Amino acid sequence: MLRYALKRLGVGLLCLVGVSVIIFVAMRLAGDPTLLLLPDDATEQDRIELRQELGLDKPLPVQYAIFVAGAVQGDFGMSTRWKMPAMELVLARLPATLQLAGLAFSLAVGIGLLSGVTSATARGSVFDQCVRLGVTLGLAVPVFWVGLIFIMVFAVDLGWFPTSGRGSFAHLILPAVTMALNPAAAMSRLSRSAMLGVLGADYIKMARVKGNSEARVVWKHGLRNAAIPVATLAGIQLANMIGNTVVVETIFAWPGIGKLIIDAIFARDFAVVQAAICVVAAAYIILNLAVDLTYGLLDPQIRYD
Amino acid sequence: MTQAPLLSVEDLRTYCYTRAGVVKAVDGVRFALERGDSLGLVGESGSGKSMTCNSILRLLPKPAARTVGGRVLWDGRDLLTLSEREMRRVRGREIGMILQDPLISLNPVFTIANQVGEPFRLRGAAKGRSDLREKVLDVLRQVHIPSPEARLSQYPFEFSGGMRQRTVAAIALAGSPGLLIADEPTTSLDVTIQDQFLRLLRELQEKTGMALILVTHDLGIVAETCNKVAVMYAGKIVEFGDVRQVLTSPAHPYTEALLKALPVPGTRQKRLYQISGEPPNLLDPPAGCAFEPRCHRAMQACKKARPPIKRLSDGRQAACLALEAGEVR
Repeated sequence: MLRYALKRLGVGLLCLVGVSVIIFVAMRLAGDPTLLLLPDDATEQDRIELRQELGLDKPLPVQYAIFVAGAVQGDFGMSTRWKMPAMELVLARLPATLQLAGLAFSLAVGIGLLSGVTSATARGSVFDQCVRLGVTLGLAVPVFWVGLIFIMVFAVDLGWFPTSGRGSFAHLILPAVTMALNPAAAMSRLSRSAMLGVLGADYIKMARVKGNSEARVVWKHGLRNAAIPVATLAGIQLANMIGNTVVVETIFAWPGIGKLIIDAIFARDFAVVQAAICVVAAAYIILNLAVDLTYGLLDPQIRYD
Repeated sequence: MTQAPLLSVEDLRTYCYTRAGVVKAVDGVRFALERGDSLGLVGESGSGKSMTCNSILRLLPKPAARTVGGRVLWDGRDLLTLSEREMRRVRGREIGMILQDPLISLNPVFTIANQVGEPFRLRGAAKGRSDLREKVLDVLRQVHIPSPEARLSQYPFEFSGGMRQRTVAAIALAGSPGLLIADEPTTSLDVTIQDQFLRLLRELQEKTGMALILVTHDLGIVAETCNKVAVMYAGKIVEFGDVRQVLTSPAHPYTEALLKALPVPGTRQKRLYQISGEPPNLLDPPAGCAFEPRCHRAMQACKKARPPIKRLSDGRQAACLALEAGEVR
């Protein structure tokens, strides 16, 4: 298992290199940052000097080599906009994103599992019908639209929650719910179908024969067997959360990584975008590995070699 | 019979509600069991054997099937009127069940120790972990699992079919039930393992004195294992009685036909006897005796009325008009 994990980490590292190359090149295609950094009356000479200062005059491979040499030591370069080390900036924003993603993920898994499993056990009931309708809605409505509607209804009209920003726990609720909606619907649908597949099995009947309560039959004997697809989706969703904060953080002006990436892209702040994307990609890779390793705990027939 | 029997099933009716209509899967089944009895419940597929067992334990597939009438008297109580909570106490502890396919009736993601220990844990029968372990080992030994200590932490997929079926038996034993219902327990096992398992069942029965209901369509198994037999046809018991009586001199034409269809070892038959026709469509059962269209003794009266099950002079029960007419044997 350790060998498997190390192998996967090695592959992950390669992925990270790939991601960094892509983002490195893509950012440089976005345009020349010096055009934004210099005042309108700057001369061509000023621009060339600034390019030299930022190292943008060197050939692309050389620029990349310099970036990698710094990155392995934890130095992702200076932000041209905020005038501070890019990684420091990213790490300062990380807690806000983790908080938002964490709550949104918990909501998504909690609500999704609860509604999905319950509707599987009560197949065809009114509750089941409502859940299925809710799932369709949750999957169909776009996040940015829901966010705006939530702000209109719950923040502006009803005044229950602040419209945007970060501060109290109340600030967290609207963005977290907005972000949770879509993954909760997906989780609900998947756990419903996974449970429907499991509940007809003989070992479920066996659990009843033993005298287990219905709750134990469903949540212990049933869910453990439906856990593999559920864990897979949960892992993908958790990893996606970190990247998906971009839209929600922008709508709710939540000072996390997503908002930082957007601001940095508009400012053509190469160092910050690179640092932020590398952090997101690393989180993605580690979470995926974690999910693959939990399979072994969930299904005893899975062995890593 | 002055004392109340251990289990008494009276006029049990379980109907399946399908899109095409109502199927009377169990239609007025009636039998009684004493302590230590072993009843063979035989009949062809779809005759209502499993449905009868599932009705007793109230484990019918919901909402398709429902018990609509009758009583299941167990230990002075009618199981059909118990609350779900009380019923859970009956399942596993008082009445155990072994399902048909051992390969899929163990939960694939829990260890053997966990699954065999569950009945003990559910009724709080074990004091601490080491006591639980001892109790689990004890029942595993009782079903002759070799080196059970090494098996505790294994999973069902590491067990052979026969061992899995033994484990299922161990789980049933762990509840120390007064009645064990075994629903075609050997159908998916090969013949030698079958024989071992049936011997195990008899041995456990002798040791614990529990009663047994053995669902099967193999009359040979019934002859070896059971002391009573109930023959089911189209949701009804058509003959019920002592194994030797029923199997050596069947009263009901259907039982007779079943026995005729058995291959006789040591003889060369060109072709096995086959009961002509098909079982009735239970969506639209015949008005008279369900076996009448296939019966070589059918009379005009058989088409009109369903024969009630009646006690014959030798103590057994059978449901056939021809018997009443005194025409048989």
